Formats: sequence, structure tokens, C-alpha cells
Amino acid sequence: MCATTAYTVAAHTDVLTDSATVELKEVKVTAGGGRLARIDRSGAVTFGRDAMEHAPRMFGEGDALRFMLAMPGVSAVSDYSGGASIDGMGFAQNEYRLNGIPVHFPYHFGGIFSVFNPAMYDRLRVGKSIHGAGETDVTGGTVVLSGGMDVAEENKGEANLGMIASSGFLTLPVGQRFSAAVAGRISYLNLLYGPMLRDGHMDARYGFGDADASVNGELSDADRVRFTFHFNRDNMTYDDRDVSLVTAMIWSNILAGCDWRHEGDRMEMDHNVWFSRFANDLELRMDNVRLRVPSAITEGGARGSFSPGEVRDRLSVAWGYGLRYCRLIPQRVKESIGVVGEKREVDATYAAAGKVWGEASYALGHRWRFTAGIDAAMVYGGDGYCCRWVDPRVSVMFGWNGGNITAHAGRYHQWLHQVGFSEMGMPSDFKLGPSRKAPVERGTNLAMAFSHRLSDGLSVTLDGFYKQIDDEPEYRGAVLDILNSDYRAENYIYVTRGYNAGGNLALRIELGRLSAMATYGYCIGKRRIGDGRYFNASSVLNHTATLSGVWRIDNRWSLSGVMNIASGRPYTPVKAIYFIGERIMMEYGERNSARLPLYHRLDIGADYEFHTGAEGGLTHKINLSVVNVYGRRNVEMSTFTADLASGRYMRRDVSSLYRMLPSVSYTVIW
Amino acid sequence: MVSGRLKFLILIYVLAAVWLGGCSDSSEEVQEPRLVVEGQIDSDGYPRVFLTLSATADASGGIISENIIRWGVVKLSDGENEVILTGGPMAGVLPPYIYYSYDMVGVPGRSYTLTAEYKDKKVTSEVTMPEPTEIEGVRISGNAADDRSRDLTIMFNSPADAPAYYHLSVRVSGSDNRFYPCTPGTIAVMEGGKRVEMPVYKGNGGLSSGNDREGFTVGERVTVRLARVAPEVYDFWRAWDNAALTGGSVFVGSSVSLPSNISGGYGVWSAQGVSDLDVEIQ
Repeated sequence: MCATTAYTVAAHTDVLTDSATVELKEVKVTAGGGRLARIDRSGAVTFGRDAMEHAPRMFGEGDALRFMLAMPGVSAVSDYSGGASIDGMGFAQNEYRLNGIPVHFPYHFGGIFSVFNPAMYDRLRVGKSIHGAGETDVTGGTVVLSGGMDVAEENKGEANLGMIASSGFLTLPVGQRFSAAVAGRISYLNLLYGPMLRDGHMDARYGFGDADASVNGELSDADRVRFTFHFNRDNMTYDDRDVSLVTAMIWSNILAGCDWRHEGDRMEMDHNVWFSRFANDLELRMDNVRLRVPSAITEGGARGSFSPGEVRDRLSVAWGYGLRYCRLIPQRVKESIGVVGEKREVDATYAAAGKVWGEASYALGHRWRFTAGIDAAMVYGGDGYCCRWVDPRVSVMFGWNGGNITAHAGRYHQWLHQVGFSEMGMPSDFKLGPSRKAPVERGTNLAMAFSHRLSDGLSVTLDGFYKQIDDEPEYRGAVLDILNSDYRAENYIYVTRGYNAGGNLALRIELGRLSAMATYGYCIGKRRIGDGRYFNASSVLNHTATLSGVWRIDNRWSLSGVMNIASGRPYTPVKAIYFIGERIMMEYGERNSARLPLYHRLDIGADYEFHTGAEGGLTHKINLSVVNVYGRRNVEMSTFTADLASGRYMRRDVSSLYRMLPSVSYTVIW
Repeated sequence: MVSGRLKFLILIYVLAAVWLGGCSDSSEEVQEPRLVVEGQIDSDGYPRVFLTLSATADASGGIISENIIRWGVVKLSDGENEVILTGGPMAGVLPPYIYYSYDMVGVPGRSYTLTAEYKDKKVTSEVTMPEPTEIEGVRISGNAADDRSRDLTIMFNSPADAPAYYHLSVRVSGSDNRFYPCTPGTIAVMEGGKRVEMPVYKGNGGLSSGNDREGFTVGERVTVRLARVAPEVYDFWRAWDNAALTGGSVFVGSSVSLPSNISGGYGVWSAQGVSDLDVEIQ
């Protein structure tokens, strides 16, 4: 929907564009090239497959969503988590879309990589704090993956053989006007990496598979369609022996959608209808107890945009619509063994939302562009809840030869919540529709983005943001609460409000065979319940820095590396321990008042590429990667345990799953 | 020129990294030790109180025995009489020291106020004892995992004056020196006259015999104690169940302190109507 608006097309233009005036009709959104991510005028990060292909791989798999964690303002809250924090917002405040289809949990376990096959979906755009009208239904960032709508003219394919998974991709023309693509991936992680994922304290077992299919069609010179289908299923078991708790999760996404794009002389249109379902089945096996706690969301929707381009000299307009209907089954007890509780089917809840939006963009001279839009929406949720709003958004851009600056003010709403036992973004987190107890979340963004080319090959981008957040939900339920006869997830929601503020600096360098980017981000985020004291937002890492680069030694060899350094995640510290029933109990301090130790990790990779056969023959790529080169045991959680035999209690730091992980993968492309 | 730009880039990064390193703001909130109470008076029974000090949660850990209080003053009042509990050693439990008295017997309907003092620390708690609920029956069933292991379920009818809150504990004769809380062992029954079945587990205290995942063993003699407790006591044990089962889990553990009815301290004081049932596992 966003790609056709005048404002957004302008925003997609690379920062290195020389011209200060954006000629909208001639701008092509081409994120696929280059080995560096690009940062556009809205501060959004865009990159294509070439960039992620040359980055170090986790388990031999190149992945867009993992690669984006090296981008300014984007960070993972934890190595265990699936999800990203964008400008300090929570994982639940991002909107993920695959060819326009909302994806409610896009990660395989631990965020090691996403559920999307990189050969199939090769472009990614991460929108941060500046969004055009109609562009988002969340208060945080947008992560949009897409695979293009062009009709393939020849057979293409590739196969990737990795150490935990293998995948294949094939695209072929079907007649003159259609082409089809299929992709699949299946894991065998336990075979090679199983021993590395277990020790005396824990035993992790994990498997997954995903499948994709798409059909692109050219109905006429001006009309294109695309059908998309995706399915993934993951299965994870984690036995934490220190606490005698086995956590098992099975989760899956089913996505289906259809896009129609019309590029006429007078009007450009995009329309998209979709179906998206995410289901999770969480099972907890504790000493004598077994609980199955599934949850699911099923939704259908449509969105569209109309862009007649310049309706008058220098004035462009666009408008659009969006409809979503969700059936939600929040977390409930499906099966309980060994514990008295209410096993019951919980009534599904429903949420429906509709919106219209419009935007106008006016170029004043060659340097100034003003964009203003509104996003008017209405949502119905559980218990008769209804909310309406009109979100204004205004942007002012000023460009010069080699640079530009954008200032933005906008109001945002998010009506679909995601909460759970964990604060790190786990697949067991469940969706909640809006209700009186979990009302629509609101945000106000003030943001700026600055970019400038310092000299040939060296450019700098800088962005800053302030976000005021209201009615952000926080779930305070504990595991056994779901056995209470009066359990309703909404009853355990606490509504918070607060703010995020910060900025990001990125330096890009492209010199001959070297491409590198250094980023630094600073963010503070506070929340409070009612008029209570402010506490640190769970997903805010105060300082983040990354250094990533690719050095092409020759036409065959390239080396790459990513260094991540970040402040530790906020956590609620244990301030005292005591014993009751001969079990250690903990008294906690102020919420999120401490931080885990500094996080740092170095990943490196090497690629070797060669060709066989005549021109148009096979391309072979071998990737060698080492994740966490020096085996840093980054701490994910800090707690206390007691050894009654020795009469001592001690602190226990739970560290990341990812100790030094070498991998090799082979890819053949034809 | 090239190397100059590169040096500039690296310099910026190194400066940021150094700053970051200096900003590792891991802080630990240290709290002065507080008194911790785990005590109860049962209907037709006598008061028993474990009194300890909480330990400071610093990274180096510590020794559990250093938190045992042997010179505290524990008093109990039922509104008419007040007794001072006697402290004495108790083997095979943690802490190995208990305060007790045989001068006061629990009577349902009465309120019991506990006061504990040690040095400059003082805590109080008052709880009203509910009427007990009789255990109506017990079912012993085979455990598929082990021929010699048995699962235990008790049955009872909820009282007319529901809601009623229960906490279950168990003691294995010959091996347990105290009743250990079952994990999980809490239930709230909101309606009167309702038939309730509740599984019974070995208590998983650190020094209990039942620190395993299996059921009861054939030949064991077990005493099951169904305690009807006050709502605030139920809240404590419910949270204790949660902490005992999921505390420390990366995925589902919650960083929430246990509620307490001990003013100025931690733990729980309960005046509870109890019903015991002796069972020989066959």
C-alpha cells in the first residue's frame, strides 16, 4: 500500500541521490542491489539479498530479519527472543508483512532466522519512526518483506545445503504472462548441533520446516497480479534441569494473499487481500504437572491505495483503505494433568477494524517538500469496545546536493496487542484484541532523519526520535493463574504509558572492494502504570553499536564480519532471597531497575564463489561462518539457586544458547 | 586517503565501544535482611514457626545457615491469651531450628496474632482460622511410568460458606520430619457443596524424601493434610507454587515477589483448619 504514495516513494529514494528534486515518475524502488543496507530520507533501512548473502550466516542460513539486527536503531532484546526492537519499542509493536500479508510471528526459535526463504523474498524495508499515512497499524516499526511482481522469463533455481537445514527455490514461466515460484526448507538441527544445545543444565531440541509458493501474472501492460502462499511449523523442547521445567512449543503460520497492481497513465493502484493465521501450542511440564496452553489468531483483510500522481504542478496525492477482521483465541488451558483447574474452551474474541487514509505532497522549489496526511480508523473489539480516531501526520523535507533532512510529527494507534509470560518476544506470546481492559494503544512520534554524503564513498546518516506512548499493555499473569476459574487474559493486563527518546548514527563507507557500516544508537525508554513511578521499558537497550563489513578480495573470495555491542537488557533484580518450604524464594526490586551485563558478539564469514559450465551455467557459493567467534557467554537472565547439600546459595546466570557456532553451507544457483 | 577514512570510521567505533563498555549499568539493589516467617497454628493443633533472616542477593552468594535465627522472640496471641514460643533445634529440616508451644491450641473462628522479634527487627501478622473441611476419601492409582509408584487423589466437599481456599501438604512417615507443601498444592473453590478432587504430590522441599518427579512408593505411609486457609494465605501459597514450578525459567518465569501477610517481613503466617488423612500406599 505504501509503495505508491507520493510521500513514501520519495522516502524510499536512496540518500545518495544527487538531485534535490525527486521526480516521482522516474523513481524506481530497487532495494536489491548493493552489499550495504541503505538508509533513506525517512530513516528507513532498505536492503536486498546481496547484502544479506555476504553477511556471516547463522547455521549456514542467510536471513533478512537477522541481518537487519545490524542496522541502526534495530536490536534484538535477547538471543532467545524472536523479534526485534525498533527505536526502543517492544517486539509486539512492530508490524511484519510478507508481500503485504500481516505475519504475527515471523521467526524460528531464538530469532536465529526468520520463517521466510531468502531466495523467495529478497527485499526488506524497515520503517522506524517516520511513516506515511496508511502505512502502519502499529506504534512501532514496520518490517516489510517482498519478492517482486515481475513475471519470470526463464527457469531459475537454487538449492542451499546447510548444517541445520536445506532449502530449495525454483521459479519458472507458465505461458507468456505467468510465472510460478516454489520454495521449501527443512531442518535437521538436532543431528549436528544437538550436542551444542545441551549441557548439564539444559537440553534443547528443535526442528522446523517452511514452504512458500507464489504465482506472478501480467494481465496486461498495466496490470499485474501476485498470489502468495506461505506455511511454516516449528517444534521446540527445552528442558531446564535447574528448575525441573520442560517447555515445549509448537507454532505455525499459514499465509495466503493476492496483490493486484495497476499502473495506468492516470492512476496507479495497489490492492491486496489476505488470510493469515498464527497458532501456538505451549506445553509446560513441571515436576508432576502438565499444562497445554494454546492460543491462535486468524485474520482476513484487505488494503488498497490509489495514486494519481501529480494532480497539479508539484502537488501529488494518494489515498487508500484498509479492512481487517480477526478471530482471536487467547491463551487458555486446553489440557491439564496433575493439577486441579478449569479446563475449558474459551470463547473466541473478535476484532474488526476499518480505515481510510489520504495524503498530499507538495514540492516547493527544488529543495522543499511538504507532506501531510490523515489516517482515520474505527475498531470494534471484545465486550462491546469501540474506538475511533483520526491520526494526522506531517513531514517536511529539505534536500541539497548530496543530502537531505526530514522532520516528522505523527499520531499512531495500535489495536492488536501481543503479550505473554516472557518479555523477550516468544512464539508463546499471544495476540489480544482491543477491549476496555486492553484499549487501543496510542503513540505520538516526533522524529527527524538527516543524511549527507561526506565524500565519494563515505556518507553519514543521523536520526532522532521522541515517542509518547499511551495505553501500552503489559501482561502480569503467572503460569498457574490460567488455571483460575475466573481467568481471562484481559484481567491480567496493566496499561502503561511513557516515552522513548533517542537517536541513531550510521557511517557508511564504500571504497573499492570494501563496504562497511558502523552504527551507534542511544535510546532511553520509560513506562509507568497510572501515576506510579517510571521504570525502564523492557526492550530498551541504552547503547547499541554495530560494525559490519564485507571485503571482496577478488571475484571469488569475500570476507565479512559483524560486531555487536549493546547495553544489557533491563531486568528486575533480585534484592533478597529466603527459604519457605525448603525452597528458595526471591524478593524482587524495582521493576527493570538493573541491566544485564554488556552484550557483545563477533560473527565472521567467508564466501567462495565459482561458476561451472558456459555462460548461464551454474553458480556455486560456499559460505563458512562462525557465530560468536570468541564464545562470549552473554547473560540472558540472572537468578538464584540453592544447593542444600553444600548449604550454599549462589547466583545463576543463564547465558545465551549461542556459544561459538561454526557452520558451512553450499549453494548452487542456475 | 582511503586509510584515513577507514581510520576515522574505526576511531568512531572504538570510541563508541569504549563508552559503551563504561556504561555497563548493571546494578544490584541491595536490601537489609528482613525477618522471614513460615508458621502456622492448626485447628486442634499447636503453633510452629520457622524464623529466619532473608539473605542479601549479591553475586557471591552465601551460606544458608548464617540466616537461621536462634535467639528470636516469637509471641502468639488469640485475643485473650498470649504465649511465648520456645525455640529449639529440629533435625532433618531447613532451617534446623523451630519455635513451638504446647500452651495454645488452635480453635476455628479465632484470630491469631503472631509477633516475632530479633535484634531491632519486628514483624507481626494476624489471621483468622477457618473451619476445617474433612477429607472424604482417597484414591490410589497406578503410575504408568513405574510399577511401584502410585498417584494419590483426595476427595472432599466444599463447605456451604464458600468460597473456600485450601492448601495441601504431605508427610511421609519415616523420612519426612515435617509436612512439606505439595507442589502445586493450592485450590480455591468458589461454590459450596461441590465435590472436589485434588491430586496429592510429595512435597519437594530440599531435604524432603520426595525431591523427584515420581509419585508415592508402595509401602510408604503418608499423612495428607488439607488445610483450609485464609484468602491471603492462599494467595501466598499460590504464588509460591508458581515460583517453585517456574521460577528461574527463561521462558515463563516471572519476576514478581511473593505476596506476604507478614507486616515488615517476608513469608506466611497461617491459622488454618486442618483435616489429616493417613494413607498406606498399596
